[in-house]
Amino acid sequence: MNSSYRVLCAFLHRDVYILRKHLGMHALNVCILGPTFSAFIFGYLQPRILVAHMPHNLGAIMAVGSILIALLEMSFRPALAFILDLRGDRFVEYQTVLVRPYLVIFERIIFSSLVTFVMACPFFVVVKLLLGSEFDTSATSWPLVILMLFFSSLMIAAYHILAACLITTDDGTERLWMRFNVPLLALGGFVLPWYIMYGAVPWLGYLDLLNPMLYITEGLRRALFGSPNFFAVTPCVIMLLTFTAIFTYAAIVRFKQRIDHV
Amino acid sequence: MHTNHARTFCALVRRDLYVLRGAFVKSFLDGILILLTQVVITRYFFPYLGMPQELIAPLYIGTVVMMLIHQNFSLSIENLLDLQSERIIEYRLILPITPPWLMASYITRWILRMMVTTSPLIILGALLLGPAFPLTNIQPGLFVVIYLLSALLFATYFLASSFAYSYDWFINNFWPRRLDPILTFSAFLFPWYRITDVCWWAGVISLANPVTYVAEGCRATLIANTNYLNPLLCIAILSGACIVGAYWLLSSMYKRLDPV
Repeated sequence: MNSSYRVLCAFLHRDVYILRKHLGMHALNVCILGPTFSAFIFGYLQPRILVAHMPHNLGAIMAVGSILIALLEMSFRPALAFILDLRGDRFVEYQTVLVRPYLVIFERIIFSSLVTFVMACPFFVVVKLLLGSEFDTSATSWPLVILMLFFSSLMIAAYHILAACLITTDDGTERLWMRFNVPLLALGGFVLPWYIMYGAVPWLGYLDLLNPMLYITEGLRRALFGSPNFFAVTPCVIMLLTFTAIFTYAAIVRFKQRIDHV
Repeated sequence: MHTNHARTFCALVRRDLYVLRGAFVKSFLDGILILLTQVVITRYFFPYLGMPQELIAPLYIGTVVMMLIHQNFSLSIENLLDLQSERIIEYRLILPITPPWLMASYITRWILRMMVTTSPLIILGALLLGPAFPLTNIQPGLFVVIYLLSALLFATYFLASSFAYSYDWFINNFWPRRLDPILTFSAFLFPWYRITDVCWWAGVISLANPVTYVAEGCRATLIANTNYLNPLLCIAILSGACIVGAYWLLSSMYKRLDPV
């Protein structure tokens, strides 16, 4: 194996080793508490309060969108560590002495996406256990759900690492959430699926196709419920990979500027 | 002696106002994107799904409460970062000001920042929601009292939390283990009477939660509807919660900073 890749694996091993200490805490927060509250608010209360005669599976359809919170929160933690490092100790500069900058970015994205993916996997199982028959899984393709979760984690990790490379000010993380994450989340299928957004405001529906979060919720809803109302999984995966490539490339360019790489 | 404290307090607030003036456009921009998103969701998406028109305004007010919580969370992180690294607070402690006065200056700054971000959300939101949010029914006096008490409540509790917990614990656990349960069992997203209709026990639990009175108080004073909790009851509960919060803030601050 090439020595650069061996160093990369060592970095990855180090990150996993550090994370291991907090794994139980994250697992409780993301795998149990997060889906429990989401299932109650978005799967049980919200549909009953908003709609007088609740259509079949509406609670489940609404609850699926709340995975975006779990994905964003989980991938934000490694990104935040990266932000603090870039602004403080700059351990990352030592890493760039050993391997090329693009490999450092790859390592961060791979680590962040793996952690996010592992933590997100039990989400729908817990939601199903809580919502019971209201979460109809008779048409669910679990391999496709896992596939969607993997590519979603990858895209969202690349997005947050790019954000980490772009943030230079104290209030940068607050701005990231207020100006980007919250609007992208709200219009990314967190509340309602795309066909309802398109039906209500068609031009916004078309504009929303530029929202990377949309392909996460649409692909997951299709894989979980199999309804043709949602986008098919293949175009969602293609879009997620496209966004991942764009975010990764932009992160590498910006990272090189930040560390003044020659 | 007290004049000195008041003078230092005023100087600190004046400085914060100066900083805030420079950051006004940034704070406004932070709020405006969320405002537009929420207006679209509550005015167009939910009614398309079959939601009654009367729920648009109360749901939108829930968003404003959410903004207050989100902003206070960010401000707590700022304070935690200061406690962890720069410790500007220690410089402030050596000023001719007592710790309670210093905390009052922090709370004033947080309230001012909340007002800058959420005021446009309320005013512009009501205008954009049009007939769904009639401005003719507002009770301005009561609303201002409830809004200030709500801002005071959030500022006190979040500031106290930033002293009570370590940075690592706060970043990893505060939202899922503290805020999520508080928000789940409160009437901030949906009106209390609708929660009680759907799930009575959740309605009962949410009565023990001050966030319920923040949202319901705002709804009762901004929208003319007898379904919401009485604003005077909300004022009484919020005042009591603020006193408890102030006590917690001072005790956690003394424990963390140990000022002489």
